[in-house]
Amino acid sequence: MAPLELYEKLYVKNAFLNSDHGQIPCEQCHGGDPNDPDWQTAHNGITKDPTFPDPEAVCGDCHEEITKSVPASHHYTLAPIFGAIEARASTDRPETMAAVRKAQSRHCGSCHASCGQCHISRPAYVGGGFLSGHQFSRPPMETVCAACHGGRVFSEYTGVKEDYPADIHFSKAKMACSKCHCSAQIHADGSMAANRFDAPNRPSCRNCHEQVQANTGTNKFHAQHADDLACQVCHSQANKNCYSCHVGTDKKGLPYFKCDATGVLFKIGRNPIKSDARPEDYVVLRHTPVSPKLFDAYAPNALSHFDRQPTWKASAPHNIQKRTARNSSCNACHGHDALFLDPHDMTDWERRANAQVIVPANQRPKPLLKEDQ
Amino acid sequence: MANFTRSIWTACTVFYSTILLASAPGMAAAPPGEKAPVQSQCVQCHSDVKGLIRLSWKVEKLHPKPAQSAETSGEG
Repeated sequence: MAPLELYEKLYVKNAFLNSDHGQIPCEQCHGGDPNDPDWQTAHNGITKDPTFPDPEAVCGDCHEEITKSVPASHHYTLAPIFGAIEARASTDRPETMAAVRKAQSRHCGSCHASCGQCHISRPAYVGGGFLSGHQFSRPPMETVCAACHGGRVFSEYTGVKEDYPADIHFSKAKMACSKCHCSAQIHADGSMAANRFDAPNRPSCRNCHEQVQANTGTNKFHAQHADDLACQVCHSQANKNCYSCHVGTDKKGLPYFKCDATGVLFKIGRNPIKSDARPEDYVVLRHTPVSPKLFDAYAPNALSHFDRQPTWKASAPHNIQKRTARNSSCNACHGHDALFLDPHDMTDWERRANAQVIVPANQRPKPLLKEDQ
Repeated sequence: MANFTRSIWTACTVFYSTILLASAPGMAAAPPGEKAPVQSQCVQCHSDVKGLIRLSWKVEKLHPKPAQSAETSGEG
């Protein structure tokens, strides 16, 4: 995503000034002094994003329902990320937890969303800047969603980075992110969700592909596997995995991260987050960049309960195809041990953490004889 | 015929002059007794592209972009 020039970030279009939101005086949301001709003193006390951390203050009068739930939404709180870190952290040592929280907010909390950072400007994480002269809009996926999800999901969905074709929903139908990830999901209160897949109003393939759920079609693979395999197991492609991230502060006081390696590959594992919404036995996995030394620069051995969470997480790769290497025949998957997560796919310190997702050799599907196919 | 042409010419001149004067700054003001809405400084500056470009040069000198650590490596 090309960065904006400073003037482009701040230019207010007449179309905004003539809109409903444009009738609200600037200072009502942003503060500052609208009568001061000196730009430096006029900006004293100004709030760049008045919708964070309290969206009710400026949006609540008109958008009461949304502003009540959105501060507890996952895009606002990043709760799934922080929850996974805190589950591994040394909760029994208060000073270590304080260091972990400091590191989290410094290195992992900069990509949160807010009303303004989705509907008016690019997220602050990528330097901000109005999307269209301060006009309010449905978030464009190229400049808003991709700002935070550009490393893996967006590049897989649009096929821009890897040697795999774009997701069929993008290449054939040009579906924007918001087509599936609707307002009701993005703005929903996620505080009761155990993980991001458990959040309210999550999209499901079956919302559109009803015949698969009803099992009324003639597809023998769906008849056999619709209940025990996540759709992505047969219909997604290899995805990007990151390994061993650690963070710190350099000699100039600037925060940095180092991610040791990335790899594009495909692994099936046992579903670690089985629920009514995700009842399948097997899911596609993606390796998260976490490592036991992630926060060592802040507190040694801060993640002393590292094994409480798998490093291979249930994933929904956004690179769906109708036909893939795995669904061309039964034996394109059966008998292919390398597709299934094995203890040899990981370093020693990860094995206990991933015990619940590794597929034991005796549980992997054996090749089928011709008469059984 | 000459008189008629002169009359047409005069009428056109008066008509266009009136339009030009009315569209000149300050002439299209609100009716007497009503105050014209005063635009805030925020709107005046932030909707003026040329002014913003010039101002952005000053701002970038006063507040340079925060540096990124050279130690960052790998994909985030």
